[in-house]
Amino acid sequence: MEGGGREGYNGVIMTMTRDPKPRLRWTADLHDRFVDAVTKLGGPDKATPKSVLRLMGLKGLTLYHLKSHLQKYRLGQQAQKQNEEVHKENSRCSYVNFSNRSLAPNTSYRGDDEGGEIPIAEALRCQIEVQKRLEEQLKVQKKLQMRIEAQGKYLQSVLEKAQRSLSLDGPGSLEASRAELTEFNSALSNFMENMNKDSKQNIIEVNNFYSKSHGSAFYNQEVGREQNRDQKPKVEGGSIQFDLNIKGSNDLVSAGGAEMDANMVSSYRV
Amino acid sequence: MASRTVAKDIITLRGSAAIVSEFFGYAANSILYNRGVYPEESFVKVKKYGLPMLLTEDEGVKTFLANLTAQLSEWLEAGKLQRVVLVIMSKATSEVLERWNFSIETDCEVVEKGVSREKSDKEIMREIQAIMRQIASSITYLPCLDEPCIFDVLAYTDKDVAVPFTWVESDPKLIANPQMVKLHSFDTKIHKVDTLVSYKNDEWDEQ
Repeated sequence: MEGGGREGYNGVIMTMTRDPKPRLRWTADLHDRFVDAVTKLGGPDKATPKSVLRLMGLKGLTLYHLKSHLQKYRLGQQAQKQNEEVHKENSRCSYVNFSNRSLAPNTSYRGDDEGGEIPIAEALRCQIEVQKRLEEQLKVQKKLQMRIEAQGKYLQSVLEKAQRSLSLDGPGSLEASRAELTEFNSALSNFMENMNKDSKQNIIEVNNFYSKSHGSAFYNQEVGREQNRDQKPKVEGGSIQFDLNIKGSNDLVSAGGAEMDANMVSSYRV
Repeated sequence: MASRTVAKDIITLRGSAAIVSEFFGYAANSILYNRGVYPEESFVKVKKYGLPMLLTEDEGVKTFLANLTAQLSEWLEAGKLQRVVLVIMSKATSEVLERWNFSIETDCEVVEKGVSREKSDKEIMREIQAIMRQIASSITYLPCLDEPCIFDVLAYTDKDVAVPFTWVESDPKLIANPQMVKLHSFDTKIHKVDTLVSYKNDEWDEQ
């Protein structure tokens, strides 16, 4: 190839455009300079292409370029103003509706002579009230969370005792244990299903179950030796296989306090 | 016997940029005339560099070259211009027929520190005159352009140069396996300009 080409050259090769009306790339910097010039001239409606051209003083910039850009800029400004007005109207209405519906009943729209906007003091009052309500809700949620965690720990201790009693008891007490477990399982599944719907109601149901099962064999059994938590006892010759994948107490209740580990209890016939 | 002292003229960066950009304007006019890109009657005679030079009277070309030299001068002052190429192409096919290549070396110290250099105007003028004579005599060895032609000017600049809005990025418009003839160079002590013309090989040259 010819010398003086691209080889070993990493700069820019450019040529002058032959177009009598060359297309102008309005870069951010160029547009900023244009806006400055328009602002100095008193806004898009007062500025003329000639005056902008004189003020910008850029080589290669022509009236042809400025006429179209100024026109677009004017249209853009008009559209922006209209959008702002519409947005103001919408936001004002929605704010008033919100305050009337869910906050203090005396918060109402007052049309001022100037702009007809809600006074600042009233708006602040509304905001404070909303914050108070939110704080109250947070307190209630915290209390519920604590109660759910306590119930979870309680359930875990029940399961541990059940595991121990099953491993220690002979085949004689299998039927009694099975009945207890069935009842326990149904209450637990009920607890899991309804947790999301109404946490308070769930707590009452589980409490009922606890009070009912307090006198059962799970609690009256004396445990002779400690069992490993993760042990999975199998009853030889019996009909129950009990699988307990017990985790730490925090795993019982999820972040929302609504779901429990599916592997927690699974009892089935062999 | 009286000793004759050669007057040394101070050359500044701006002065050198003006000399070089003006040279490009006259060189372009001379190439366009001698290579018959525009008809003879559209040129007018002026005296420059101690030679009769021809300048175009075509308004479009005049405006184009005026804008070109103004921009080149700006880049020369900034030390950003590396090469200027005048390309002659076939009007019908846009095939590149000739490339007039002007390579520029800039004294970086002058650009960075703003120092000046010394060289007499007469000496610079003599060097430019030699190039102009060579351009005029190039018709003796360059193949005849027997079809309507157009021209374009390419500017090779540094990577960090922003493309002005009357310019567009371009390919180098090279000639495959060209014949090349090196012409004289001139030096202002700030900018050194080397001239080279490359042209398309004629088929009978290869046989």
